[in-house]
Amino acid sequence: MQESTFKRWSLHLILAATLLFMLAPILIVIVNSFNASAYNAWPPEGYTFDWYRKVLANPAFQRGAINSLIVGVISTALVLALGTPMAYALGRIRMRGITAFKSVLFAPLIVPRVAIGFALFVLFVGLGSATGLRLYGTYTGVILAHSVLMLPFVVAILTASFGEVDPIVEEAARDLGATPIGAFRLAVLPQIKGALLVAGIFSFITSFDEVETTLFIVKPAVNTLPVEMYNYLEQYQDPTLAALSTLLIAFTFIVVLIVPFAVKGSDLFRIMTSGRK
Amino acid sequence: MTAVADPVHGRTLSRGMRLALLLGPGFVLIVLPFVAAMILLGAYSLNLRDTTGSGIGFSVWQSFLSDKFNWQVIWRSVRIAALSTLITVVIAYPVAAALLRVKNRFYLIFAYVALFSPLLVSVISRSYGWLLLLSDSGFVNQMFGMVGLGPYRMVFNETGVMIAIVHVVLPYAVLPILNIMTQIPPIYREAALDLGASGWTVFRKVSLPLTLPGVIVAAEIIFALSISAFVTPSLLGGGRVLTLSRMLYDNIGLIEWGMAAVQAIVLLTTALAVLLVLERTNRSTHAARQ
Repeated sequence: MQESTFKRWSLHLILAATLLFMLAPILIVIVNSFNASAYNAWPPEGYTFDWYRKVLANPAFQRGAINSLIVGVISTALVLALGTPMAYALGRIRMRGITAFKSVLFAPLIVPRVAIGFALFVLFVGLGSATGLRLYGTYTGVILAHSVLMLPFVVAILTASFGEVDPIVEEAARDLGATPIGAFRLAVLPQIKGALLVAGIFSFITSFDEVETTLFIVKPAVNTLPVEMYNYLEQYQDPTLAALSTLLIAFTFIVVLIVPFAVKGSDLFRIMTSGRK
Repeated sequence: MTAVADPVHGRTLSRGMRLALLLGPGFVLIVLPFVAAMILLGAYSLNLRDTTGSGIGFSVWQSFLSDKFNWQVIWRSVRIAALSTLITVVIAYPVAAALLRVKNRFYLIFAYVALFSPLLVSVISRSYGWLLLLSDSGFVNQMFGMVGLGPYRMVFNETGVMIAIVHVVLPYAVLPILNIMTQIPPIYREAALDLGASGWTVFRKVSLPLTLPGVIVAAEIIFALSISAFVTPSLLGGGRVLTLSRMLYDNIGLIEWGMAAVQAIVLLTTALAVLLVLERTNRSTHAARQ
């Protein structure tokens, strides 16, 4: 029995309307970045590249972008280096108390980010006055905070991926005389390359976009780009931010779409559309 | 895995040792600071850093919970999150159903990219986009103006906040619903239709009950995201929509750490309480199916 035409058409109409809704704020930002009016007049009275010149010449945004890149790259490297062995252990070795361990490990996914931000702020300031360890308002502090947020995602993605690798391959490598690390590098690592790439990109974007936790633990010198943008938007609403947003959208789409597709498109599409987060 | 007394590979590390080596560094460097921070949060809410001179105890909790204003903020946060969740699920359900019926591969890819685009765009840029669209002289009101309607107030109030929240959480709702829809054999619906049930009856008696677990998972994720949102209610609310998360942020500036700690715990507890209720509902629907 066939579905009614009415039902099919209404479903497609809802989908089309929703897609428009999803793209609308992004499209208007891109168009507005060329708007000659400083008051976001709509429809635009004229078109200009001035806002792009303003963004690129703005020292706060320049420093923010550099800070965000530094923090993003280091925290991504850190969570991949520490999270891969953790995921391996969780996926391969049976242990008691695993449920308790996992609930602590994945807790940052449930705790609201502002709460994490405030808790880390209190910890950083407390540690600072107790031990002289400088975490509040430093790169180390921001990197640690971002790692706290990213680690659960990385471990979840990689644990699932280790689960798909047959342990027999690694055992065979060991039987043939490989050291444990050698067997891992030669027999397991090549098979989880795709998942590592996805986890890495996901981490970097999470870090690069993170505001809610970061706001609590930065000082102006280490302000990341989204924090600068948040502060700017609380004061001004001229199209400078539209130009910056457009540049960032272009940057993110290049990172997300071009880089992995250049490596292996089919793998990524499979992961993206398989419904697993 | 037989790691203990392995005759082929010779001396192998004990299982405990391997676990410590694999889990230890990440645990000590990243998980432990988080745990310590959360414990400290509890301690501060009990007035550990005595700023009021009233000693360690529940004095901060008392003053928070006895203030009616705070309950209004809690209620507002829950209401905004609950309404956003409801609207999102109502949109996500037909969207997931429609995605299953898309035949054209290019349109499908475009649909996925459009649906998931909020995840790739900074929350600040998205909020800014909504401010441009929804402001009094913005694009949407100009469209309304052309047909003689409006202007409507859609920013710096709860309407604007909810529109922007629904926008960002929608992809998280579509995924679990889509996931469960693909697991239901179409033959169930066809059988019901063949037996003479109307389309609406099939939806109510067959499709919806079978997909309900996916809907509840979606609702859990969305509610948790909505109630903890900070940037969106802050910017779209323009300081006029005071939610728990915004209140927490404002307190830092005032150095009211004890109070901020209480608010952080209230925010966390509210989110967890709703998650537990939804989780229980989910279990009972699972039980009912068996």
